[in-house]
Amino acid sequence: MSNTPTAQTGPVERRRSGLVRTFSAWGAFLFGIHCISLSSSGFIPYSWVASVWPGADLVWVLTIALGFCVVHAATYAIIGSTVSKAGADYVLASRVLSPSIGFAASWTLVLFSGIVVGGLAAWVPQSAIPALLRPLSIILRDERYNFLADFATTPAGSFVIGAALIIIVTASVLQSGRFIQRVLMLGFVLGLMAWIIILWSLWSAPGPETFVTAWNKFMGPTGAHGDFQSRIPLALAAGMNPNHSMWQMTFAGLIMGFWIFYGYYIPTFFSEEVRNPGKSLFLSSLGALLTSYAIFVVGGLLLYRLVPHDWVAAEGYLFNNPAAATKAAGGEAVVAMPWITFYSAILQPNKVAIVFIAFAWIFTLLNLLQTYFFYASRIVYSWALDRAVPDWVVGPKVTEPHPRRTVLIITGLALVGLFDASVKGPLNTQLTFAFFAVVTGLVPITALTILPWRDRKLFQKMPAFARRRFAGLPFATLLGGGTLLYFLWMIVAAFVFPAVGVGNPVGTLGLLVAFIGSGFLVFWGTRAVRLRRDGIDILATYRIGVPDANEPEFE
Amino acid sequence: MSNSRFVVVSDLHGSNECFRKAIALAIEMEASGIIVAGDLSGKECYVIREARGGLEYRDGSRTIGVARENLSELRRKWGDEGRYSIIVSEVPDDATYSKAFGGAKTRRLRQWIDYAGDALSPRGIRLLMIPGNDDSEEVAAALRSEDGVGEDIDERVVLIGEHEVAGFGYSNPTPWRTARELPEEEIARRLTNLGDQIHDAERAVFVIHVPPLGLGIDLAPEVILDPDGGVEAAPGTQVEVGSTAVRTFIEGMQPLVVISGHCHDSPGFAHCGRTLCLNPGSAYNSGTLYGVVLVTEKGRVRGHQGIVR
Repeated sequence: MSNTPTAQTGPVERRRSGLVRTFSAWGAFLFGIHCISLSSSGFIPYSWVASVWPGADLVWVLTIALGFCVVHAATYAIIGSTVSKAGADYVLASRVLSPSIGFAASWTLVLFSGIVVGGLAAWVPQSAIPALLRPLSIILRDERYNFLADFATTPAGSFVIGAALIIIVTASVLQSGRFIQRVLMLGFVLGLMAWIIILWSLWSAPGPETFVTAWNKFMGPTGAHGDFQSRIPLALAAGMNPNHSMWQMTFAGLIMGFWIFYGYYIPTFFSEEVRNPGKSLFLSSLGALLTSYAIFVVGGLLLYRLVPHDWVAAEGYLFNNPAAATKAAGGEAVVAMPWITFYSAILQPNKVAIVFIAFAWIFTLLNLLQTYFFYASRIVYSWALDRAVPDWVVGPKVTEPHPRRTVLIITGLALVGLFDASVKGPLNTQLTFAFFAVVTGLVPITALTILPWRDRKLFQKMPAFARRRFAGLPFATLLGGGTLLYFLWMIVAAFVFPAVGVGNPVGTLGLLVAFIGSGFLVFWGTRAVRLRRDGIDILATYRIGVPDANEPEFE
Repeated sequence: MSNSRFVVVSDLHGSNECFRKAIALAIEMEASGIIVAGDLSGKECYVIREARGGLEYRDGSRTIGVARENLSELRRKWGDEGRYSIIVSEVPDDATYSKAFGGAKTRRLRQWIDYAGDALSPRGIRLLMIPGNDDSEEVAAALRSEDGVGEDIDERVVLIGEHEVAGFGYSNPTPWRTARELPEEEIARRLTNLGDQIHDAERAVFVIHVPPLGLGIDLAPEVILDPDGGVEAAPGTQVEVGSTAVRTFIEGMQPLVVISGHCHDSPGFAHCGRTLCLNPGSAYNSGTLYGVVLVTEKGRVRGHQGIVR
């Protein structure tokens, strides 16, 4: 040959993904606990849950929620250990159920997750930063914190701060797995220390009078109804309707579990990077669930030692229903502070501690964004390894395959979500996230449930306990069936209880159909292109083993 | 014929299940041929012997009992994972064991080819095979002597469709000192001889067991040599173990496609100039088939797709 050839490389086939099993059970736990989020989910029980289900005992709600999430966690851990690949849920569903349905569900989850990252990035300046700055302003009697909080909540402020967060998170997720784990570890330590301070503040208060005095000192001057005793009457006047029945609390637990604890199972989405996934995925998801449960429950118990259940609900209600609160207050704007961080701060108004908690809160919110980026990018990478999306997605070099480009795809989606959330656009993804996560989760869970009958070989790869039979059915099927029932209930509940679900059914269902439909279009489009260009039907990639019938016997 | 479709697999290492899947895949794909890029035989053979009231075998340092009624299922499982088993009344000496092990390898290979003949011949699908560095000369000789559907293309050229397909079933030296290893200089010499038999390099397909060095499809776990001469894989570290001679040969000759195997954990593809280099990879010991479907048209590669079954 006259020309001197040079080595050029292309994307890799399935399996040699370039991904390295970096994360132990501990590393996977860090992802799980940060995706639950000790900060954002640390607000939810005492502010949102309490206000939507006034009168409910948070400890009971959290306990009911934990029970169902444990079943779901075990189901996903089985998926991740049976198919230990990037995007394990997608790989399983596309092989066992249907390639196009598996892809479309996965596509929808990723689109939504990516956009929700933007929503979360906007939530930081719109809600989290004010929730941390306004208490500083009240406690330190310094209006500058209020100005900062006001700026953060404007569309421009929220987009600028959110974009900065997205850029920081993108840069961090492009680093090695070990680096990401170190950042998550730092965040966990900070988050834990912040919670220790919060819990200690609540614990160290001698009794309810201390809380009342502290509240009245800082919140009394905020308005005519600022004092402790006025809060429940004001909330009742604004429409709060406490219900102390066990049914009410159980309902709340059944519905709110995913909102509070979502994220514990995400290591399944990158199980190819988890060492010993058969054990690690169970340990990490259950560990993340139990750790967050323990922290939130202790917080609840300590809070109830100081204030009645209805008071916690009233404060949340006043915050989440500002128009009704203002009306009930005779037109006066009501300042409400239903934040566990604020309760801690008024009991121990120490500037260093308050600033430290604020810093830790923001840092762990960054960790939360990192986890979304990480898992969503790995699912996209998995599609690319199946060549269901263009080859360039996995990167230009076969010797250095890396999901860098998939991370950048998630960045693009996040910026869309950020813009939408900043200008209060139509996507409104954060409020429907649990609904979308549940709907898309139906597909891999159905695949797991029917797996024992669809692929005997793959079934044999399940952990032994998952193969064990009870009442004639494999445990994996029972777990999957239980999770399916839970998810179907969650879908129904999203419409029955619009305050925690689908407030705009037409819009939400339209978005769901558009996302799923676009997933089918991409899949069938790719199939058509590959068939015409390469002469290969990508469906062959997804077919599972040969039929058992007529298999020859060899020695 | 201007359109050819190949199912490419490698390093089956005696796995019955992988072989069955390869045949099924070729039928499903309506392939022109199956190419098996070496390492046909397995690496382990269990010795099952009579014990008090039953049977037992040794796995490492452990002796494991097995009920007679479970033996058939156990042997089937071993076969699917690429293992052999022989039933004896007394523990054999080394020479007897080696002979029995070798016999098991060649018998299974013949069974495969017989089965492939029944499944593929009526459909006009050809089966092209080379031995690999892990195949003994006994296995290579058994392959050479086959006159059924299994075509031995080791250091030979055959025509399939519009492609000359040439095979080379050796590797460069490995830490395990396997049966069919050659120094790089000898590989270069023999590949040159093989290349001289090719009339149209632009359409030629070479099946060379050891992949070319440094294209990302020759990665293997780094090994540690212990003082006793043993070899252990170093956890987490991968190194390039491909052949410099193969790389030089590809750069010089620029055939259409080079198909390799050898490095199980390194499936993928890369281009070296105009040559597409493929390694399907292998996970034979779990009965999982790693393969590549390769489609050519009018003398060029139209497409290729990794398949895991």
